Amino acid sequence: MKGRVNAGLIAGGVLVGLVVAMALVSFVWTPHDPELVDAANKLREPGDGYLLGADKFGRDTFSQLMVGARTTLYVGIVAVGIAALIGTPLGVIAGMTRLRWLSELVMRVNDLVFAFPALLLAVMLGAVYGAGTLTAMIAIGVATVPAFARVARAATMQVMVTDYILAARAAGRRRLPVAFRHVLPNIGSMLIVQASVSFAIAILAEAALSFLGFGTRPPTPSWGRMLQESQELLFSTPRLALWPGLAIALAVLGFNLLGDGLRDYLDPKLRRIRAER
Amino acid sequence: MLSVEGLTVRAGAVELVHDVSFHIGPGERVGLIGESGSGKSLTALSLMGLLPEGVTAGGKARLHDRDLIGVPESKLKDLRGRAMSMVFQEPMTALNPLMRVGAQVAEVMTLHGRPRDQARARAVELLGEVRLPDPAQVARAYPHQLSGGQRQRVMLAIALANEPGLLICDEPTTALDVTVQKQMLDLIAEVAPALLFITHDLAVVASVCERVLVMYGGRVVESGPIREVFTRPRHRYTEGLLAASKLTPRGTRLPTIQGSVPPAGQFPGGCVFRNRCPHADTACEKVPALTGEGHAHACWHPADRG
Repeated sequence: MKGRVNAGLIAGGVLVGLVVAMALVSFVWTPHDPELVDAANKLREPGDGYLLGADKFGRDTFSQLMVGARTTLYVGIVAVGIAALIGTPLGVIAGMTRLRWLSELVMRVNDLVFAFPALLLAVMLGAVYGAGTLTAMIAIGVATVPAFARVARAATMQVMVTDYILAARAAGRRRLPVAFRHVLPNIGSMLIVQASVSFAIAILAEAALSFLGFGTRPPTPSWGRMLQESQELLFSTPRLALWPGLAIALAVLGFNLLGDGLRDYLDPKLRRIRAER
Repeated sequence: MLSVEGLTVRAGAVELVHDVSFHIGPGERVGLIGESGSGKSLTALSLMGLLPEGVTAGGKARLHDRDLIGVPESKLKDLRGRAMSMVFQEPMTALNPLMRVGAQVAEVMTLHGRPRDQARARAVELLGEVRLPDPAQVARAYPHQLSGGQRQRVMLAIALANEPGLLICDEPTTALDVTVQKQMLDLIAEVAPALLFITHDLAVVASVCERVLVMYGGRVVESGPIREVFTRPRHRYTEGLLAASKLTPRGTRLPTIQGSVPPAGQFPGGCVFRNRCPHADTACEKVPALTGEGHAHACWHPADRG
């Protein structure tokens, strides 16, 4: 029942794969120490072991990008993880319950969170608990919960009207096992797609927060902060902004393409429509 | 064994099934026929406690000594799948597409307390009992790898897994090819304990059931032994239904029942069939009672016993 691999899926997979590979390799090897401040290499031009040059503190840009990929993925995984772990059960409960008010309550609280800007939430959390990667991840995660809850609820409601749910109930299945054995596996593909898209948004949010100084704290490299540090040199040394900017753009593009590609790949209905054309 | 007394199903103010009463003894096979929208499926679903949201049932229904209507769902759960089970119309959607067939059969047994390994082994046996070739291999297959007829057999295996006293089949053969239909019907007739068989296909009822209830507009309009009802229908609706299903010589007009089934809640008062009945007159403005021992009918102008 698997679909055809499409171009978007491949392109997204390759881009995401690159980011993941960079992050993994950075654990064991980087060309230079990404956090080493070295006045001798200040604003060093690319070449001669410094592939993309060095920044105003003499830190190797490429090494920073590699370790920055790690930060990016770390934030994305934890934020999306939080969102999925809270949002999915909420959505499934709202979709399965026969108590209308409960479903409404969950979704209206959901709307409330949805309406609250994620960055503002992060800035507030940062102000109260201190800025850092952890608060950024939690804030992004909480702000992404409604997206998961909505998708999970809609998908659950679709599954709940199928005959196999009726059949499971006719066989005497209790509610919780129905949720775990029949509902969750069947809404899984929708959630995977949502996770991929949310990941792209989380990357962007982390970059924005780091840029504003509410995200990853120095000296840990982060793409967002690299951008921020390059700001004053934008006109004299534009490459310092170019590379992290490109990295963010490509990573976001990659996860979006992956999400779209997975949706087409996992959704048999869409596939049929394509085939009929 | 199953006795239904004054079953009424309503959605808000609209009555969908009105005052339905019948009885099924152990080993008895009863058919429930009628057009779409006559309330057959709702009757069955209300017995299982599976009515859709916003639809409620009233009246009395007892299986052995357990009440089925008006009790909370949690009390019905141990009955469902054990004392009574159901086969649904659409074999394409009634199986979870992501679970292996064998696991789905075994699931209903572990659910009612059988150890997992025993259930697995019994599942393969059951698949054999419903005449699936190479049951061990079918058990490992996913639903999409099976044909409609095979899936419906799997559904039957699931329904029979806990040796229920009552099997409810809701149009189990409607979605199947005619050739497969016959095999499936024979199988159901052979393996079913007591059976409530819902269909709109008269020929199917005739081949499986001993007794039949004819429903129209949410009411039972005629009931009785199948031979009686089919050879000497009393109610005008049954008469029309039978006439419409007979093969007619080429060139003659196909007999039909004029008009169509009104939407729920818009049946006429009095006899529900009177707006389509060729024999209707003012007497039909009063509701006819279902009268007669054995072969009963609810009609003011019954067809004569011929």
